[in-house]
Amino acid sequence: MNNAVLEPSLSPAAGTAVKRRMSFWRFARRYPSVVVGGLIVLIMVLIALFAPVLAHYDPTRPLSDGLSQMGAPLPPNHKYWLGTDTEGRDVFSRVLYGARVSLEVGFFAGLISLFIGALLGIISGYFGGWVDMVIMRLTDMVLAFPFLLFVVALVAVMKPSVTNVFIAIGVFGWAQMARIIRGQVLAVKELEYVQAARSLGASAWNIIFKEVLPNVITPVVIYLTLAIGQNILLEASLSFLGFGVQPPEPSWGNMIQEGMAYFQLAPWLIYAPGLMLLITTIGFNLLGDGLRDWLDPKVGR
Amino acid sequence: MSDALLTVSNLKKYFPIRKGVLRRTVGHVKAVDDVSFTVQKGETLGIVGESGCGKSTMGRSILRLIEPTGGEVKFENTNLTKLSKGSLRTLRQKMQIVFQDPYASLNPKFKIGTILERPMQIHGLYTPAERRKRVASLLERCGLDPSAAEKYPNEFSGGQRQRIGIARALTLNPSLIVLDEPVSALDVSVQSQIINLLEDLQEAFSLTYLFIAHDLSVVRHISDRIAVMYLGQTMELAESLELFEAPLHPYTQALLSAIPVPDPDVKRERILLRGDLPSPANPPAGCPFHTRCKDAKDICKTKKPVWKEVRPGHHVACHLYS
Repeated sequence: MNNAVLEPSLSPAAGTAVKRRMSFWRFARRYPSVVVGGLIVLIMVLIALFAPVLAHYDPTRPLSDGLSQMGAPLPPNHKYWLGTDTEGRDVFSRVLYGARVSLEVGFFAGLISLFIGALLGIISGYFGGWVDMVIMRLTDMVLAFPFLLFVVALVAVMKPSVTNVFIAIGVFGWAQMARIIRGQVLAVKELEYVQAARSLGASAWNIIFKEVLPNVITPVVIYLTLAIGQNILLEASLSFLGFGVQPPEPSWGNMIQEGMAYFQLAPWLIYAPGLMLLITTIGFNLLGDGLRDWLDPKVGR
Repeated sequence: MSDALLTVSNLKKYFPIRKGVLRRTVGHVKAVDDVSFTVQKGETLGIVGESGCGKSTMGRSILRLIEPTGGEVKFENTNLTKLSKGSLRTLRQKMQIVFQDPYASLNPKFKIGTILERPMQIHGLYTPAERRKRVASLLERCGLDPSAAEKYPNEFSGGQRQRIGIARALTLNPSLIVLDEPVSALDVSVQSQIINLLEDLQEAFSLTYLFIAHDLSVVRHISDRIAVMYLGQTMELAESLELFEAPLHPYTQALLSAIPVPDPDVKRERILLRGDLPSPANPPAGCPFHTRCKDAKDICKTKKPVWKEVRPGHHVACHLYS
């Protein structure tokens, strides 16, 4: 603000590098959670992508030497790094494949809710009036509806499957997203540069895409990152309750469920998927919080 | 000076006040109430008034950035108020607006070049190469280096941003520019530079200005004629010189007496306005100014004065002159 005094120098020396590139280490020191969270997420994505390469055994088939002579699961050893489960399957391979389901659901359910939420949120915020009323009451209804009840009803109608988990989480997640986006749009649309675009003769959709969207995208990306972490947890809960991924297909949720009964005998059955779940969720949350510090100047540095 | 470029007649903008669960309308804020005037081709009409008197709302409803509640706006020979959205968008090339806050009027995500090319893109004017050339020449015309096109808005000071805002308004070769307090957010030293720029541009591109401001000395410098607004209504309209030398309306007289004189020896009678600006949601009956007027008579409390020409080119709405 105070550089207005320098007004007479109308063109500051051109040629000076305007954008300073921060070195990676300086960046990592200022925003450690972006780096740590990003690294965790990256590792998890790599695990999910290369699960078939990394896993030594078929995650769904009982192994011939997977159980002890007494028929008990094997504790972690040099052959089965995380032990075997009650069916004699390799827990390590199952955990790796479980990452696929978790990330898939987290990501795609996030995208579904982003798409629906962005569309409705933008329409609601930009056009206002009765459209806004209808959409916002609809989101209120979705937010007030008990999630588990909905899932139980959905599963009762359709078969429990990964696809239905996508739908359930995505269809529920959009309401929060729509509210966030609507709020952002409401704030941005009154700004003078949006009014300026109107006075220049731009159409409503042109303004939405060119002026409004670029300025609401940051909080949306941040929220999406946090939502993916949430979705992964939700998928685990649903699979744990038996509404999601069905055995023998592995998911961290149903692995924990299966291992629960043998917790005292074979604690690795719960620890392995539980820790993965914990680390992944923390990773996404760190990344989301870090992105907010980095990209959203309003929070202050 | 005879062709009217813009004719505003009985323009009204009421904002409903809604209360309760059912959002029933319980009243209206009369932001602009029955305003009429014309703007001649090539002139600058200054609009002054206190904060909240409806100056900006009026400027925006003339351009239909806000839909007016009633009245008519004629631009050249087109009735803007009846125009479809599509034809209005095309016609917007001819009328532009420069905003008050140079920090909010430029999209922070785009380079200056993109911001300035956008209006031409919207209307499909010129080839990309021509657009870039035009942007460079406009930047130069507005006192900025053409290299500014490669920078982002946050790299500029308030005054420089305002120059960019003016350049954007010029990209489409408009004939009318509404200047909505274009200098009130700037330092005094920068204000005069922007005013001078506006005057140069007016001459170079034969522009017509509607200059909205709350600072009389700024308006006096640039305007050919000045309209004084109070609570959404025009109180007085006259040639700039005449308004300053021989103001008729008591409100105008009070405003003028508030301008500081830089000479300490000059003794001057200061007309102090008593009380606050009444709420535009509940304006006084009769003349809106009677609650603060030193010359208020009984008739002022009941009957609204008519807007009439008391001298050639000098309009006033006051019972003292009827």
